[in-house]
Amino acid sequence: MATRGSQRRCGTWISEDLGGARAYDNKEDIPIQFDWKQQQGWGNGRLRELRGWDPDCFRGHRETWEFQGWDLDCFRGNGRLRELRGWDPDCFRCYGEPGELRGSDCFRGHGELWEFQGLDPDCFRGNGGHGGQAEACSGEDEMDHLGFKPLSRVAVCGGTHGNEMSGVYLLKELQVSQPERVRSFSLSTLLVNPRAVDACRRYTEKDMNRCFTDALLSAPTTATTPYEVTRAQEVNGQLGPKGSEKAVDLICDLHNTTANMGLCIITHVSDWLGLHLFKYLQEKITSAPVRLILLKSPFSEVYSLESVGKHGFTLEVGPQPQGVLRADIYNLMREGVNRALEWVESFNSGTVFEGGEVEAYIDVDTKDYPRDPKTQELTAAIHPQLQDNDFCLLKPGDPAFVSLSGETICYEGEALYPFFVNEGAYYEQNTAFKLAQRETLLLPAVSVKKPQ
Amino acid sequence: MSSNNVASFNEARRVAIFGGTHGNEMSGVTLVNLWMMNSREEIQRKGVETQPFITNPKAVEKCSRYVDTDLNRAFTTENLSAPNGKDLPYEVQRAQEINRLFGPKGSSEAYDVIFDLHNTTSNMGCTLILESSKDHFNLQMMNYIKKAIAPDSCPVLLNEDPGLKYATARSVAKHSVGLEVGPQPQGVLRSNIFEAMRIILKHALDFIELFNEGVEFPPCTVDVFKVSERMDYPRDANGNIIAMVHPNLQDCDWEPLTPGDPMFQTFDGKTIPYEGAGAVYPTFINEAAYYEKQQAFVTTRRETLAANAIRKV
Repeated sequence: MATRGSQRRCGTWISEDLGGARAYDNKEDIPIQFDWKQQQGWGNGRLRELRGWDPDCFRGHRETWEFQGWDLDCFRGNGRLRELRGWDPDCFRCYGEPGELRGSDCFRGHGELWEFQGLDPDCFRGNGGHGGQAEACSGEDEMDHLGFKPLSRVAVCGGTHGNEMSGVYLLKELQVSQPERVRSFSLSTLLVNPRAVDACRRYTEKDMNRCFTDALLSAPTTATTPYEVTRAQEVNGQLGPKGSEKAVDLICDLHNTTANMGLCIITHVSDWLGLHLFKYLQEKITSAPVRLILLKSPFSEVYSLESVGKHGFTLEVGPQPQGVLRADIYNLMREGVNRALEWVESFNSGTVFEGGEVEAYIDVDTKDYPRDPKTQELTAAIHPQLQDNDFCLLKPGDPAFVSLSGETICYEGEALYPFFVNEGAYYEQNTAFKLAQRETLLLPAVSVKKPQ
Repeated sequence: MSSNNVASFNEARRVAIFGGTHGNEMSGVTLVNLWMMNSREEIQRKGVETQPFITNPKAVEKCSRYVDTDLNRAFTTENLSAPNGKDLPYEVQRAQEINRLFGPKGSSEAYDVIFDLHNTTSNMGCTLILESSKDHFNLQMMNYIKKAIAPDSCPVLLNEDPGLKYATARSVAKHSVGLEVGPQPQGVLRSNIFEAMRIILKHALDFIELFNEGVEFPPCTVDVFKVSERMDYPRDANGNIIAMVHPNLQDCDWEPLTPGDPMFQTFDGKTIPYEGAGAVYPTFINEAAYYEKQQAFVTTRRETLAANAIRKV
C-alpha cells in the first residue's frame, strides 16, 4: 500500500506514499503547509526541526538519504534521534545503540542509529550496529545506566599505513612488554600492512584503511586483486569477521598525521563504550590536547579497520612527518594506548563510569585545494594563519589559502572547526582540510554487565 | 686567478634551478613547475639564461623520493661513464641525461651555476650547502645572501670530506649550491617554507646579476658548519632501531650538543647521552630519508672560511 522510499546517498527524496507522507531533503523542500493526515505525519529532515508526531506512530528522520522506507502503520526511520522529546503511548519507536534496544513492545533509545538492520512487521526495530541484541526493558531509569558484556579480546593494530611510524614501533614495544602483564583480557597486536611498512609507504596498491567495507571483504579475489584487498580479508578473518559474534571486542588502530591534531580518537560509530574510553583518556592525558572526532557513514559503507571489531576506534597522533619517528609523538601515543588498556581493565573489573558530557567534533565537510582546471596541480597552499591551527574555529572571511603568487584566498562557508589541515596523504584524496561541527553529547553511565 | 688576491671568474651566463631531485620534496617541485608553466620573470636576470628543470619526473609523479635509486647520489664517475642502456636504474639514466644537458661534469661546457632545491623533515631552517671550501664565487654568494636576509639567518653547511660527501645532481656545474629548507614533511607543501626558499633564490640570482655587471665583491669571511661525523641510531643485532632521537635533541639543529646531553631515548623511556670528545653542532636531525642511510643526525664543527675578493673576467 505504501510506497517504499528508496535510499539515496543524498539528494532530494523522490517518492511519497499514497497516504501523503513525505520526506524532504532539506528545509527548502518543505511545503508551506504541513498536511497532517489522519494517521500520518512526517519529518522534515533534521529531527530537531520535527514539529510534531503522529499519535500512532512516530516518524522522524534526519537525513533523507538514511531514510529506508516506511509503511503506514509503523514508523521507520533512521539516523540520529538525539533530541527526541517523547514517545508514542502505544509504542514508542526510537532507537540508538545496540545496547539500548529494549523490548518488543516498547523501547526507548536516543543517540544515533547508524545501521538499520531489519524490521518487525508490527513495530519497527532498528538494531544499530552489529552484535546488538534486544534486552527486556524493565523501567525508565535503565536509560541512565547501560550494561555491556566484558571486553575480553582487545587488538592493537599498527602499520595500517606503512609510513606512519609510531604505531609500527609501539607494536614492537607492546609485544615485548605484554607477557609481563596479567590482564582481564587478552591483548593481541597486529602489523596490518607489512609490505607497506617494508617499503615505508602509505600503501602498495590501495589504501588499506579503505578496504574494510562489507563489499570488499566478501569480494572474490583473483591474481589482479590489489594486495591490500586480499590482506584486509586476511585481517578480517583474524580479528573479525566483521559483524559476527566472533569479532574481537575492541580494536585500537594506531595512526599518525602530518596535521597538528594532538591526540584524536576517531570513530565511525558512536558507541557508548568508545565515548567513555575517550572521556577517560581526555581526563587522564594532560600533555597534549585529546579530542573526539565522529565520522559519518551509513554502517554498511564504513571502510576502515576499526569497524571489524565489535567496538573500535582509531588513535590518531600528530603532527609527525611520514617516515619519521618522533619521540614526543611516540610517547604520546604510548600514553594513549596505556590509558585505553587501563580503562578496559577497569571496565572489566566492574567500575561504573558515570555519565556526563563530552564534546565531539562531527565531520561534516571537506575542502580541496584550489587547482589548475587543466592540470589539476595545486595553485595555492594552506595559508599560514590556518596552517597548524586545527580545531580553531574557521569563520567565513578567514584566510584559508595563499596562492603561489601570494594572494590570500578566504574561506567561504559556515563557521566550522578545521582538522586534518595539510595532511600529506590527503592531497591525492582532494582534501586540503576537513571541517567539523562541535556538539556536546550526553553519555549515560556504563558498566560491565554481571552474568545473570 | 689574477693578482692582488682577487679571484676572477667568467660571467655566470648559464644558471639552472633543479627541483624534484627527490620527488616528494614539494617546495622545489612546486617552484620549478610554476616557473616552467608561467612567466619566468621572477627568475630572469639581465645577461643570464636561467633554466628551471625537474630532474626526477618519475619520482615526482609517484611523489616518492626516488624510483630505483637516490638521484642525488647517482652522479658518480662510474655511473656517468657507464654505457647507457635500458638496464640501468632509472636514476642512473637520468643522471647521464642531466650530465649531457647541464655538464659534462668537470668540463668547460658545463653550466656555470646550479641551484638544487630540497626540503628536509629536520628543523634546519634555510640551509645553504657548499661542497668546496675553496669556491670563492660560492662563498661570496652565500655571504651576500646571508647579509640580504639578516636578521633572519641561513646556516651554511660545508660537506667536502671525500668520505662524507656524495655525488650530487648539482655537482655537474662549475658552481653547485644546495638549498635545503625545513622542517617540512615529505609530500606536504607548507607556504612558509615555500616562500623562504623563493626569497633565498631571489637573492642568489640578484648576486649573479651584480657579479655579471662587473661589481667587485671585497674579501669576506663566512661562518660555516663543517660536516664531521654521521651518527646512526642505536640498533640491535638484527639491525632494528632500538631508540629514537631524544625529545631534547629533536628540532635542535645547529644548537650545541655537549657530552652528557641526552641524545637518544629507548622505546621504554631510557635516555642515551652523547659521549663525544667535545661540543658539536648537530644537523639533519631525524631526517626521514636517512633512516635507510643509517643516519639519525650528522655532527658538524664551526669554521670560518675566508673568501677572496671576486670580480668577473
